[in-house]
Amino acid sequence: MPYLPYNFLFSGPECTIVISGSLIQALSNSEGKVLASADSTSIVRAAAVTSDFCHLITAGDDKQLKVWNLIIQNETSRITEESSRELPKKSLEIHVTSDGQTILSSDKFGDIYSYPMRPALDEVPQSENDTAQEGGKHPISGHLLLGHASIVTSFILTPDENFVISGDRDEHIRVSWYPQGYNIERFCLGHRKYISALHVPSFQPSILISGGGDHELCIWDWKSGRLLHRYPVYEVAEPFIKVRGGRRGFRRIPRRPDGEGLSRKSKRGKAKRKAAESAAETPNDDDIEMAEEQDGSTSGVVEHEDPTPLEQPEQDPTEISFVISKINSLSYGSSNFIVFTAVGISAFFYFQIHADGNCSALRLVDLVYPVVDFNICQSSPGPSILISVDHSVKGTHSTATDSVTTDGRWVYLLAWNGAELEVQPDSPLCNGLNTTARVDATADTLTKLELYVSLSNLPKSREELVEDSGGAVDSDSLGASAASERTTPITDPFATQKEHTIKAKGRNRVRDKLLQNQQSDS
Amino acid sequence: MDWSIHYPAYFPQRSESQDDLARDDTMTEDKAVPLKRVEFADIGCGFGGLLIALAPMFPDTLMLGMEIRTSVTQYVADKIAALRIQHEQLAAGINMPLPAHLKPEELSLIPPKEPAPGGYHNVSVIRGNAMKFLPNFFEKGQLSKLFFLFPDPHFKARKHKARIISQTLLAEYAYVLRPGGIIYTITDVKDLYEWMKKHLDESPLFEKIPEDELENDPVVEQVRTATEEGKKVERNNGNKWLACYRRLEGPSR
Repeated sequence: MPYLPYNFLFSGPECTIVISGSLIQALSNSEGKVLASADSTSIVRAAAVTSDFCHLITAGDDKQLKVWNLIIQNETSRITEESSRELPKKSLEIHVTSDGQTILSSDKFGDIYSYPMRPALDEVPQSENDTAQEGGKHPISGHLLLGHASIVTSFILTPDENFVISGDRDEHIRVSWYPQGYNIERFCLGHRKYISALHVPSFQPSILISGGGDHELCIWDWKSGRLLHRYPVYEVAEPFIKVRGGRRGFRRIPRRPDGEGLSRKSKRGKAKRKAAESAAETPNDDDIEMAEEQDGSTSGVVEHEDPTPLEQPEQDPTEISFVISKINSLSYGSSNFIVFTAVGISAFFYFQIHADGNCSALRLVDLVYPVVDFNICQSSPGPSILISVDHSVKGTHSTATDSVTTDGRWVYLLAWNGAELEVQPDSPLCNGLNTTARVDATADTLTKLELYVSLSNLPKSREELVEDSGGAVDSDSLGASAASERTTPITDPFATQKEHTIKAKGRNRVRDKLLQNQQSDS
Repeated sequence: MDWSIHYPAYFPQRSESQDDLARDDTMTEDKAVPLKRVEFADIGCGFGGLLIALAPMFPDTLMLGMEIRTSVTQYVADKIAALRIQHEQLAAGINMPLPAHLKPEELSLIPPKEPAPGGYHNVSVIRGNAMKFLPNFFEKGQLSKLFFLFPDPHFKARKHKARIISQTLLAEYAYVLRPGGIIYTITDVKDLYEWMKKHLDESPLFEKIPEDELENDPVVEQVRTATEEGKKVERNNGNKWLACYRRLEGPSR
């Protein structure tokens, strides 16, 4: 019987908050006991904790933005819902300011809104007529901080909270003032594909690390927009891809022999193609239409397949999508490290970064199962890392020496052994997470979690790439090319050499004739 | 972004080695600062009427039209190429005789005898989606004028977010415009005029330019009449609502 993976992990001083599906639990760090739990009734898609670890904010499929009180007092611990507000659109990502007063939330339409931690009085239904509608059926209007023209795939506040850095599917990274989001400081342009993760390390707050579909992480001086370094990661990560995604859906490989493997085809391909064709020359209609279609089509089709021999997707290597899921940083002694994970990939990656900007070789810890989330915990001698994995996807390694049975571990603890990170035997906390705190999962809920949907909906389809590149079909331009290269017209209107289309030939003939006539007449 | 395709008179053709330099985009060495940059941008330039009227008025200023329709972009490119050749010939003293059979009103369509200042080498067009990729073309504070002439009104409420002037997009327009730069909008749809005016009024980065100041701006007359769209509105006796705003200095810390 499968369990739900832990989508969110938050390590606090006394306890750790974990969220699986819609269930929120608090476990004591020392003993791993479940101290308190609460059900959000709807799958949690975005979550954040305040810096004082007194509040948890969640947003789910029901569009409710919920603020939870975390009362951790050993035996009398409770997680209670303090407020619930309806958002106009589903939230993708939530951040909270360090003073715990403001919540920032992004939606799939590319907008980032800010909301006060405590709802204003007029957001609560006041009149008697509203008694029939309980629980805030009035969508609140937050303050529009800023907006991108495509979906904001990741955003962060800089450590000093003077800037918001946001990345989108159109390869833009935008640095805007906070709270004056209307004032853009800089764009960091250079990514060749969608952005999916951003991070500013507190030990070097002038740099930004960004990742997405590119095979390298980009390191920027974000205030000036200068690209300092491209750090290759894909070659090292590629052997650990456990879930393969392409532009037309994904398959988990390999199938489990007991036939429990799930396969899901996204309907996006057909719908996207239709929308793109009809809206080829109307600005942004395709984006808007696709965003609307996503509601219907991403629920997809769930199929239980027969245990057939392993199917390798017949895609060429360029079709495999790569999505960096989370970038963070830590300091161990006098060394600074950047750490990151990627969607559907079973390894935890880390590399040392020096003050002069040089980066050491990429290192990793293989966890066999794709990593879902991780959290850095302060401990001794150095920071340790709590990682949750998706156990419903098996690795390709043989299980002869693998002591992990079908139950296996859902959460791993990494700690330092000398200069390397290693998997540790379970701490009491991990033990609790790997046993009592697990939540039973049905195939249905596992599918609804959509853990790997970004592998298929972030990469651009052929039509979208053509549309971006200037309407002319050019197979070379559809590969990895910088945004600036792509936006110059492929057919150079000022080329003096002959163009080959019939229309162009006709145009040139008339033009040349005119010139000839003038020259012969004068 | 290879500007030498668009303004060959101002940017030398890039050599092989320079292309390699450009492809290695980590700026470990200082990139040569370009001598000139585009300063006027016409978003949704259509058939290029405005730019072609403005080019001889500002012969030392580079201006660029952005248009999302490929075929229309090609038309404007061809027109500019033809104008450049024509004015080169005029400058070289090659006179083209007037066709004898033309009527007086057609004579006004005859190209002028004098070569235009700048020879149309300062104007070009590019096919692109300004709503999505404007920051890819222009750097921070690069432009001094930004034009939105007769934009698509997107009448339906659910399409309002596709309008070219919106709260979120104004941040991007303010980014590419330098403080003191001017945004010119004109439309024959009153609802769209109210919409654009409201968003610009509410933006902390823009202030309305008073009418008397606009009367002294030679560009305004071209904005009103130089485009195909503008001429069509006149033929149909429609109203034109002009709204021009100045980009202010941003917030300080």
